[in-house]
Amino acid sequence: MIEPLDRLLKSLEKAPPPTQKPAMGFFTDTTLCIGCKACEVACKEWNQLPSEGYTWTGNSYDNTGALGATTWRHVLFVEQVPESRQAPRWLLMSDVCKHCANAPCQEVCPTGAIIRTEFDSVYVQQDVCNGCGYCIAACPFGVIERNPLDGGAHKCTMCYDRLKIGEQPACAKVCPTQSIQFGDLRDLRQRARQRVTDLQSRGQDDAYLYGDDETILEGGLHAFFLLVDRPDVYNLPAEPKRPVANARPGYLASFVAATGFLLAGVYAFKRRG
Amino acid sequence: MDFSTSHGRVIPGQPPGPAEKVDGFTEPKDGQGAGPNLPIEDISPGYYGLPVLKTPVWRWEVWAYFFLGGLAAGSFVVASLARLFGDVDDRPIWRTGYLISLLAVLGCPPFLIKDLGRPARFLNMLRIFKPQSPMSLGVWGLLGFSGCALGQALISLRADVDVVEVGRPRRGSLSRGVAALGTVLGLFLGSYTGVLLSVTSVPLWSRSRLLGPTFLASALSSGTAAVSLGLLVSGQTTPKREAALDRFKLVTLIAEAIGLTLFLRETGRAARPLFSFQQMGRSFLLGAVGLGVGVPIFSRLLAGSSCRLVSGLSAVATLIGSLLLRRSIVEAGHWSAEDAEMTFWHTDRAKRGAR
Amino acid sequence: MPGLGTSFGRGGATTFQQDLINSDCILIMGSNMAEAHPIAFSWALRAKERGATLFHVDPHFSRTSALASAYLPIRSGSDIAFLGGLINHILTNERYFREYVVAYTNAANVVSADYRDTEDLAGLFSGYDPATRSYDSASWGYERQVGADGVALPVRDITLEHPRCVFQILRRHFARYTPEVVESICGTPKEQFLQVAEALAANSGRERTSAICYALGWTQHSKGAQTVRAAAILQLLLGNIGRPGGGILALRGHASIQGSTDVPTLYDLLGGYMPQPSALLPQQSLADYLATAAPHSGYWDNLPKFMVSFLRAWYGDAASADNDYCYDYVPKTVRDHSHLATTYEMVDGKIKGMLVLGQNPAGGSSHARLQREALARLDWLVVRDLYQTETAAFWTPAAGVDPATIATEVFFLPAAGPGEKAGTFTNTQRLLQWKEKAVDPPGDARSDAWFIHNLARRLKALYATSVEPRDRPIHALAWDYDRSEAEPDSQIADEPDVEQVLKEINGFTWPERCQLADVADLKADGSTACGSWIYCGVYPGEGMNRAASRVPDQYLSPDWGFAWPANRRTLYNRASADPAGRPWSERKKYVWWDPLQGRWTGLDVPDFPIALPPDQEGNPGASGMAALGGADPFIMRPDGKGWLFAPTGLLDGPLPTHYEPAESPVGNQLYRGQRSNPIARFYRQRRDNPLAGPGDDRYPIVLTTYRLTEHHVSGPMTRWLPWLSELQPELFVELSPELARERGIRHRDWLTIVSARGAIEARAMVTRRLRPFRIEDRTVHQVGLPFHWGYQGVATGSIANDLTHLVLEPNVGINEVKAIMVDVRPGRLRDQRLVQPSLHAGETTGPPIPSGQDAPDLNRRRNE
Ligand SMILES: Nc1nc2c(c(=O)[nH]1)N[C@H]1C(S)=C(S)[C@@H](COP(=O)(O)OP(=O)(O)OC[C@H]3O[C@@H](n4cnc5c(=O)[nH]c(N)nc54)[C@H](O)[C@@H]3O)O[C@H]1N2
Ligand SMILES: Nc1nc2c(c(=O)[nH]1)N[C@H]1C(S)=C(S)[C@@H](COP(=O)(O)OP(=O)(O)OC[C@H]3O[C@@H](n4cnc5c(=O)[nH]c(N)nc54)[C@H](O)[C@@H]3O)O[C@H]1N2
Ligand code: SF4
Ligand code: SF4
Ligand code: SF4
Ligand code: SF4
Ligand code: SF4
Ligand SMILES: [Mo]
Repeated sequence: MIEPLDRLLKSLEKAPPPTQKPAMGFFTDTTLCIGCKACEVACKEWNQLPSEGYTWTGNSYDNTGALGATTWRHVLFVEQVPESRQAPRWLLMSDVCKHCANAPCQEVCPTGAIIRTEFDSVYVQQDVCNGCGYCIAACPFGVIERNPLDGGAHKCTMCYDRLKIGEQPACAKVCPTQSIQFGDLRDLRQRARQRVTDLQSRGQDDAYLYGDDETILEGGLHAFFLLVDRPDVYNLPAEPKRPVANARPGYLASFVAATGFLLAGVYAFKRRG
Repeated sequence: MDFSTSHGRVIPGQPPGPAEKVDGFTEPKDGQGAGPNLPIEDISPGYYGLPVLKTPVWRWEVWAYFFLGGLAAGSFVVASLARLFGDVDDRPIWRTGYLISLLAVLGCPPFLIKDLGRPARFLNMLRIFKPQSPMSLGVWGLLGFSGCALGQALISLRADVDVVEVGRPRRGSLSRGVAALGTVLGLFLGSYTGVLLSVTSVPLWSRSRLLGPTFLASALSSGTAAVSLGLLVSGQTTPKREAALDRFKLVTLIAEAIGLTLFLRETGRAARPLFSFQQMGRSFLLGAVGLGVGVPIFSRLLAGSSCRLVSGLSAVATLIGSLLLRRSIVEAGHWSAEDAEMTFWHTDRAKRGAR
Repeated sequence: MPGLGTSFGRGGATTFQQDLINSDCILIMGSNMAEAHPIAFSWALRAKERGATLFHVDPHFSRTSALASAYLPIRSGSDIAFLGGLINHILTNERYFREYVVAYTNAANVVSADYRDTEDLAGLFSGYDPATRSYDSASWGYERQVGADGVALPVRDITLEHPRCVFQILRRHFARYTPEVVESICGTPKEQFLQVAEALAANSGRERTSAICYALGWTQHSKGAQTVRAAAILQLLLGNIGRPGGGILALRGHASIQGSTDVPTLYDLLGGYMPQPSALLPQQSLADYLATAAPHSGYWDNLPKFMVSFLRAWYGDAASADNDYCYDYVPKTVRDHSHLATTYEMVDGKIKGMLVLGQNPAGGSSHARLQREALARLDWLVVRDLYQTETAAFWTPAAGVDPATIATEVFFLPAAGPGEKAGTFTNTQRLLQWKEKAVDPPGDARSDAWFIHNLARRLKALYATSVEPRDRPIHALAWDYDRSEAEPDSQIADEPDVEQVLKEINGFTWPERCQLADVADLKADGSTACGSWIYCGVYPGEGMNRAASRVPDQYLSPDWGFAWPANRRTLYNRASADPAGRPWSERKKYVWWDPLQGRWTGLDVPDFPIALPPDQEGNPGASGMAALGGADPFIMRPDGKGWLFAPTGLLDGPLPTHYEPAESPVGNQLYRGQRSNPIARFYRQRRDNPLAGPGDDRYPIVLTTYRLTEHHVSGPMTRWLPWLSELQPELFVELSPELARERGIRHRDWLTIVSARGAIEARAMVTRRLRPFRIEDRTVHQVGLPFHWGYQGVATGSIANDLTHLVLEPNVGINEVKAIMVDVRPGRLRDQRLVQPSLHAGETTGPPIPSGQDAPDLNRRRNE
C-alpha cells in the first residue's frame, strides 16, 4: 500500500533544475565571413537535419533561402556591385536564432515546451511541443518553423547537447575565420564593441552591432551581429517589438468593450418598449 | 540604435557623402534579366524579396474555431443577459442561447486539435497555466467556459419542467451564478482570440490593440443573430423578445463597425491584404464588412425589425460575416507575414506611428 | 612544380600558411583562396586584421575578392603581362632590394653572348627549332671564365652593370611591360595595377615583407610554369624569399597532392624528386643514371645516397652492389606517359585496360568527351571509388549512351574513405600529418593500400614459380607490410600495416632496420634503405611517428606533424639574414648566425649547413655542398643562388614572356608573330582536339573554369551528399549583365555554351561580379564556369570539361582549362539544333544531341 503510493509521489517530483551557468551567446562578425557555409553544413550534420531539396535560386550563392525547421544556420549572400564596378561588395552573413533575452517564441508558448536553459539559451523541448504554431507567428525574425514531417516546432538549440558536455556549438567550432564567435555573453559584447571601434578607426564607418543592446525586444539578443549595412539588407527587422507587449492593452481594450456591451445588454433587456 | 548612418553606403576610402545609388536585390518581377545585383527602378529593401517572417501555420481550423468560439460566447452572453435581466417571457431566448452555445462550444475542440502539428499532444496545453501566453489563457478560459455552457444547458433543460419556479429567485441561484461566471468567461472567450493574434509579430495582426474588442463585438453580434435565428426557426419569435435582441445586436454591430474602422486606422498600410482582391479583399470587404456589418445595419435602418424575412436574412448575413471576418483576418495575416517590405516598415521605429 | 623548383631549388611552397600573418602585403592571384583553401585563407585574413593589405587579382569577383582589401579584374591567361608589369615597375623605379638581389640571386651572372632574348627574336628565345617545336637551351648558359685551377667559373658583375648580366637582361626583357600595356593586355585598370605595384614595393625590403599566393589560375595554362617563374623573379627582386611573411605559397589541391609528388604517383619521378630513368637517355646503368640525373654541385650531389637507398627499399635483399642494386628492374620511360598522352593511346586502341583509383577522368579531365570515348575503347576498366563515378558509369544511359554500343568490361570496386583508413596527408606546406582510422569501411570497401598490398601479394604468388627473366622484378620486390598483429576493433584481417610503409619511406639501416633520424645518415653503399629521402626524419626511431605528433603553438608549431625537408617550415630561410648572417631587421628576424656557438640558429630549423659560417667563400668549381659559400641560401641550386634567369630547367625559356592562351580573343600585343607559347603541346595533328583559331568569331567569349566551396573537384564526393548538393544544386555560368543583354540571356534562364569541342547547358547567373574587358580597344567578354557537375549523384548537370581542350603546358603537362574560347546562347541545349562536333572524321560520337532538320553541324561550320 505504501510502496505504490511512494512511487506515485516520486513520479510527481520534479528533477532539480540544472545549476545556472553564465549566459552564453554568439557574436557573428559578418566582416570576417567568407561564405563557406561550413557552419550551415556542420549544423545539419551534428543535428542530423535533412536537406531541403535541390533548387537553384539564382539569388547569388544562396540556395537555401532562409532559416527554418531544418536549416538552423543560414548564410546570406548580398551582392553590391554598382554598374561602374567601383567599390564592389559582397556581403556575407551567417544567420541563426537570436536566442532573444525576451524570447517571443518562449513567451507565447502555451505548453511550456520552450524554455530557457541554464546557459540562458532558448530551447524547444521536443517531447513537450504539440505543434500549436504560436511561436512561429511570434518570432520577429522568422526563425522557428514547424516541420511538416513531425509536426513540431524546430530551431537552433545552441547545441545544448554539446554545451552540456563542455563543447562549443558545431557551427562556431567549424567556422574557419572566427566570423562566428561563441562564448560568455558579457565577454562577447565587450569584444564586439571593441571590434566596432577598431573597424571604424580603420575607416569602416558603417560597422555597427545589431542586437547587442536593449533596443531590440527590450533586452537585446544573445546572438547578435556586426553588420555593415542596414538591417533589412540582411533581411533583419530594424527594431521589432516584443509581441507580448500587446497583450495588456489588448485585454484592457477588450475589458472596456465587454463592460460596455454588458451595460448595453442590460439596457436592451430592461428597457423594452 | 540609430541606423541612419548606415542608410547611405559608405564607400571605403571615400568620405561618406551623398550615397551612391544603392542597387536593389529583389526577385526580378517580370523575370527580365535582373541578376542578383541589378538596379531596379523601384528599389525595394530586403533580401531577394524573401519574407522576414515565417508564414503562420494557422489555417481554416483556426478561423473556424475563432468563429465557433465567438458564436458560443456570444450566444451564451445573450442568453445570460436574458436569464439575468430578462423576464419569464424571455425564457426561450436563454434556452435557445444556451443550447446554441453548447453545440458551438462542443464543435471547438476538434478544430483546435486538428490544427495542431502533433494533435495527440493536445493535452500538453493543460500541463501549465501561463497567463503570459494568450493561448494558454485561452485554453483554460475555453475549458472553464465549456463547463459553464454545459452546466447552463443542462440546468435550462431541467428548468423546462418547472416553469413556474422561474420567477423565484432562490431556486435559480445556481443557474444565475453559472450564468454570471459564464458571461465573464464568454466575454473573455469572445475577445482573447483577437488578443492572441495581436501577440505575434505579424504586422497586420500586431499593430493595433483593437482586434480583441472587434472580435468580441463580432462574437456578440453573431451570437445574438444565431439566437434570433433560432427563435425564428422554432417559431418562438415575438416582437418583445426580438426587440431586446435586435437592440443589443445593433449595439454590437455598430461597435464592430467602429472597432474595424479603428483597427484599420491603427494598422495602417499593413492592412493592405484586407483590401487587395488578389488577397483577402473579397472575403473582408464583401464578407466581413458587407455581409457582417453593412447588410444587418442597413437592413435594420431601412426595413426596421418587423419583417421576419428581412431580420432572418440579416441574421444569416451576420453569421456569415462573422465567419468571414475571422477568415479574412487570419488568412490575411499570411500575406502580411510574407510581405518583407511590410515587416521592415512595421519594425522601423521611425515609422512605428505611421499608417 | 618546376616554376618554383627552377627558381629556388625545390618544387614546393617556400613558406607555410601560418606565416602569412607576418606579411605586410599579400597578393592572391590565380587562386580562389577563400573558396578552395578556406583554412589557409583564414591566415591571410588574420594578416589583414593585423594591418596587411590583401589584393585579389582574378577574372571573377569571388568570395576571396569579397574579403580582400582590393579586387583587381584580369582577363584569363594574361598573368605574365601583369607580373611582368610589376617586375618592370620595380626595376624602373629602383624599388628592388639591392643587397638581397646582389648577394642571393644570379642577377650579377653574365649570360652567354649567344643568348638572344624574345625582344631580339620577336617572341622567341635563341635555340628554337621550329621543326620539333622545342628549344635547345645551350645558348642560355652563363658566360664562364677559366679560373686559375683550370675550372670554368661563371662570370659575375656585382655592380650589375654588365650589359649581358642577368639584371640588365631582365630590365630589357620587361621594359615594354608598362602599366599601359598591362591595362591593354589584361584589362586591369592602370591605376589599380599601380596601386598593387606600389604596395608591393612599399611592403618589401629590410623591415617589411610581402607574400604571394597562387594556384590553378596561374598553372592551368599553356605557360603555367612561366607564370610561377614570373612571381619567383618578382619575389627575389623584392627580397621576399626565405623570410617571415614573405615567400610564394603554392596552394595545392587534393588533401595530399603534395604527398603524391613527394612519394610520387607520377610516371616521371621516383621518391624525393629523383627523375624516373628513361630508356631514351644514357641511363642504362646505375652509374650512368647517377651521372646524368642531377647536377653535381649543391645538395643534389647526394643523389647516389638517395638512389641506392631507394633501390634498397624497393628490392631489399635482392639488391646488391654487384647487380647495380637492381637498377635494371626500375621501369624506364619510353615516351610521354602522362594522363593525356595515355588518353590518346586509349583512343587509338593502343592501351587495352585501365585501373582508375581515386580519379574521375570522365568528368574531371579536360576534353571529357574524348576521355569517355577513350574509356569506351578499352577492353576492361577497373574503378575503385567511394561512389559510382561518371567514369564508372560512362556506359550508362545517364551518360547519354546506349550500353549496347559499349564493349568495355567495367569492374567497380568499393574503396574506403578518408576516415576509414590510417595514413599520412602531406599538405600544401609540405607538412606530413598522420591520421588515425575512425571506423572500418562498410561492406566490402577496402583501403587503397589494402588493394595494392593484396594485388602485390597475389602477383608475387602467381609468378613465384616463373623462371622468365622478365618476371624477376616481381620476385625481387621487397614486400613486407603484413601486420604483425591484428588491428584492434577491426573486422579486416588482411589490411597492411601502413606505419610500416611510413617507416620505410623515412628510411632505416640495412639489414638491422634501425630507423634513421637524418637524411645525412643515408649511405650510397647499400647499408641504408629509404623510400623518399626528403621524408627522412619523419619516423626517426621505433614508436616515434613525428607525423602524428600534435603540439600546437601560436606560430611555427615545430612539433605539430613533420615538414620536409628536416622539419623546416620556411625554406631557404638563411636568406632571412643578411650576407653577414645578421637578421635584416629586428622586425623580420627569423634565422641568423650565432657567432658564439658558431652555428645557425633562430625560430625555424635553418635550411642551411648548420655550421657553415656566413663569410665562408664558396668554391664554384667544387662538387657538392663545398661549391656553396656561407651566403648562398638556395642550397638546392647548383650555385646556391635564386634564379632570376633560368639557364636550365625549363623547356620554354629562361624568362617568362607574355603569350596568349592557345585559344584567345586577341593577338599577342607584344609579339605579333608569336601568339601563344611556341612549345606548348597542342596535339595539332589530331582531329579530335579542334581549337578555335585566332579571331574565330564563332567563339568570341573567354571562358574560365573554377571551384565553388560547396563542391569538390569533379563532384563524386559532394554531389552524392544531400547536405552539400542543396547548397549548390545546379551547374551555372556566371556572366556580366552587359553580355547577357547582348545575347538576350535572362538571369536564371538556361543557356547553352558552345566550344569547338562540344556544347553544354547551364543556368545563367547574371551578375556584375563579372565584367567586360577593354582589350586592345575592343570589348572582350569573359564568363566563369564552376566545373563540379556530371551525370551521377543527387545533383546532376552538364560536364564543364566537355568544352575544354587538350593543350598542355610543356614542362608539367598541365592542361589549359583556365582560358578557352566559347560562345553562349540563350536556351537549353536540346533546343539549339546543334550536333556535338565529331571526335573522329566522319562519325559523331559522344552523347547524341537531338537536332532539328537543318541542324548546322559544328564541324561543317568550322570549315566554312
Ligand atoms: N571547396 C573546394 N576546395 C578545393 C577543391 C574543390 O574542388 N573544392 N579542389 C582542390 C584542388 S584539386 C585544387 S587544385 C585547388 C585549386 O584551388 P584554386 O586554384 O584556388 O581554385 P580554382 O577555383 O580552380 O581557380 C582559381 C581562380 O583562378 C581564377 N582564374 C582563372 N583563370 C585565371 C587567370 O588566367 N589568371 C588569374 N589570375 N586567375 C584566373 C578563377 O577565376 C578562380 O577564381 O583547390 C582545392 N580545394
Ligand atoms: N575544367 C577544369 N577541369 C579541371 C580542373 C579545373 O580547374 N577546371 N582542375 C583539375 C584539377 S586541379 C584536378 S586535381 C582534377 C581532379 O580530377 P579528378 O581527380 O579526376 O577528380 P576528383 O573528383 O577529385 O576524383 C577523385 C575521386 O576519388 C574518389 N576518392 C576519394 N577518396 C578516395 C580514396 O581514398 N580512395 C579511392 N580509391 N577513391 C577515392 C572520389 O570519390 C572521386 O571520385 O581536375 C582537374 N580538372
Ligand atoms: S529568434 Fe525567434 S526563435 Fe529565436 S529565440 Fe528569438 S523569438 Fe525565439
Ligand atoms: S509549436 Fe510547440 S514550441 Fe511552439 S508554441 Fe506551440 S507548443 Fe510551444
Ligand atoms: S548552435 Fe548548434 S544548433 Fe544552433 S546553429 Fe549552431 S550548430 Fe546549429
Ligand atoms: S563557417 Fe564562418 S566563414 Fe563560413 S559561412 Fe559560416 S560564418 Fe561564414
Ligand atoms: S577541406 Fe580540408 S584541406 Fe580543404 S580547407 Fe578544409 S581542412 Fe583544409
Ligand atoms: Mo587539383
